[in-house]
Amino acid sequence: MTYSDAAAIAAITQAIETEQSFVYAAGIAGAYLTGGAKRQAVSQLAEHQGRMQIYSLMIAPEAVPAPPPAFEPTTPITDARSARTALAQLNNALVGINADVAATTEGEDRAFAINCAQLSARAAVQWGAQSQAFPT
Amino acid sequence: MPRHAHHPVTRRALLASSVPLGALGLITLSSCGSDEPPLEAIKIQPTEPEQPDENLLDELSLIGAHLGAIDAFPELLGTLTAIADQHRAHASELGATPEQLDAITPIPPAAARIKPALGELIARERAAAELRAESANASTDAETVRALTFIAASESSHIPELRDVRRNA
Repeated sequence: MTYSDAAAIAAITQAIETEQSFVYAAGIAGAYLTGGAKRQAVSQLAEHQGRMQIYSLMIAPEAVPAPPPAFEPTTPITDARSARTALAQLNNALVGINADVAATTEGEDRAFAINCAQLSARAAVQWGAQSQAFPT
Repeated sequence: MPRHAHHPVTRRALLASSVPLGALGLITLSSCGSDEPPLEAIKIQPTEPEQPDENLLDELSLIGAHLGAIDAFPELLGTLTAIADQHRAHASELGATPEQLDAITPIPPAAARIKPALGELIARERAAAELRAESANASTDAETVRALTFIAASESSHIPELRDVRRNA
């Protein structure tokens, strides 16, 4: 479904932009991680690229935000520890972003957003964050 | 939000529910010629008691399950207290009163050993996350959808956290 409601477009646009940030961060983080953690980062990078594509189909093509020319992580990613922290923070941020999408969409699109929120909250804990009652 | 739509009480329904059965014929006759439906066409809706919210009851039960596991295995106090506190926040968001939260009693785990007991909690968290997600998907209120999505996500995140505790127990 293509949404024309302003609140839905705003929520979906925000989700795409945050997913773009996550993909950049996972790419940078992957360079500092090894073994299973590196594989996890690569796997999540692909998963979040898929999310971006699905969210892009929910709004008109001209409303889809272009990827930013450069990415500046909110906290510098300089080693494995900071890589894990950044991925945990971004995953937790995605919970609220996806909750906003769920609240403004319906049917399969809402179910998709709810599932994304759940996967992000789990991933945040797997990257070392403590669980939260309302992840942010 | 209310789970049951309120049925408007019409004068006729009120009258029909309060008169003795022997008077029905008289009332039926008295309605002849009016534009109201005949009395026999009126279905009297029994008053339904307010049903407690399924998600709220589940949250209260989850808190009890975590408290029961802490009683059985005090070494789990730290992690499980933190998770139980999150369920209290969820229950409050879903409308729990302080009295309801104070009245929660520990639910002992079925398992006598710590790892299977943690497995029970993991299964409960998974079921809770699924129920919250289904409820969020079915809700017609945007704020409820948003709140239930947050809660579903939080409960999903308890699964890897509890698995980690079980691995190290």
